[in-house]
Amino acid sequence: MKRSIKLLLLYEDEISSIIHQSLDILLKQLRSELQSTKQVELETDANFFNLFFIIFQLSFLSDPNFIFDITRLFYSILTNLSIDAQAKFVRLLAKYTTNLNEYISHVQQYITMHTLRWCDHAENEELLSTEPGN
Amino acid sequence: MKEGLDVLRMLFYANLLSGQRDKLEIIEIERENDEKMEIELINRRQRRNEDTSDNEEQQQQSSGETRSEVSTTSATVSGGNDRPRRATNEPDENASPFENALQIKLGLKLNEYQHGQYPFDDFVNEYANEKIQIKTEYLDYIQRQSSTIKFSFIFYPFFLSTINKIGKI
Repeated sequence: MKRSIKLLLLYEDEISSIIHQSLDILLKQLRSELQSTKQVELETDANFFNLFFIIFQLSFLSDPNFIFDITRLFYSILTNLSIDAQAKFVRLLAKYTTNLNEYISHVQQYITMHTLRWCDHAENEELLSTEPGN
Repeated sequence: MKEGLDVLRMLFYANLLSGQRDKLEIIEIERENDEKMEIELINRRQRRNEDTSDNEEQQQQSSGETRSEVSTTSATVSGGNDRPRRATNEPDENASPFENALQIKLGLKLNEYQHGQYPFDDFVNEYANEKIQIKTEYLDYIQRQSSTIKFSFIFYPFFLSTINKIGKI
């Protein structure tokens, strides 16, 4: 999977819109499945967290074309997992730290872009913490 | 914004867990120091309350009133409400608002780590910190009950710059 993604990324600009569409479909389907009765079944699947690791490694997450919809949806799904699943994910992150700084950069870019957009549209005296979330 | 900070918090915890926890002796020394400090604070507060109630009694006596019981009771009540917000080691509902379900689930004590795999500064977003009106945020936070607050930067101390942490005080 990693090798395929690496090869695909040689054509980053060309495939950007396809990846956007694919992630949009995938994440929306995942969100609905997690909201259904399948949540426990999914969260206990051994391969479930691979999905998050693979998406987290995509450079597209920091792309301005992705950051306000795909990235938001991805983070929203991740933070709405059960606490048990979140804790398991954190322990996996702590075990495999090779890409941790990349993940941090993605999130910092996300926060910066949302702050920038908020500052452009916010009324005077409106607090940054009132920026609409998930 | 909230989802971003929640994910950043997950990464922050992972960074701590992949770092090195303090030695048990250091943790024990710090715990003892915390206990001593807490006892000292309680003593100081009691002395202050006693002084306050003495002054009130004197004032009442001088004005001819003899309602000393009321002042004692009010001093006791104010002492009870005067507890500072602080992180506790007990994972219960009344724990510090700075602790959250994930941290409790992980059994993570943030003060027991002085280093993570990556520097703590990596988790501070300078641009966002410049835009946070920390005093207004803090006033807004203390004016509402913790349970009614959906999101506040105050819940994410690892994200706040030193300037904003000082500004909060």
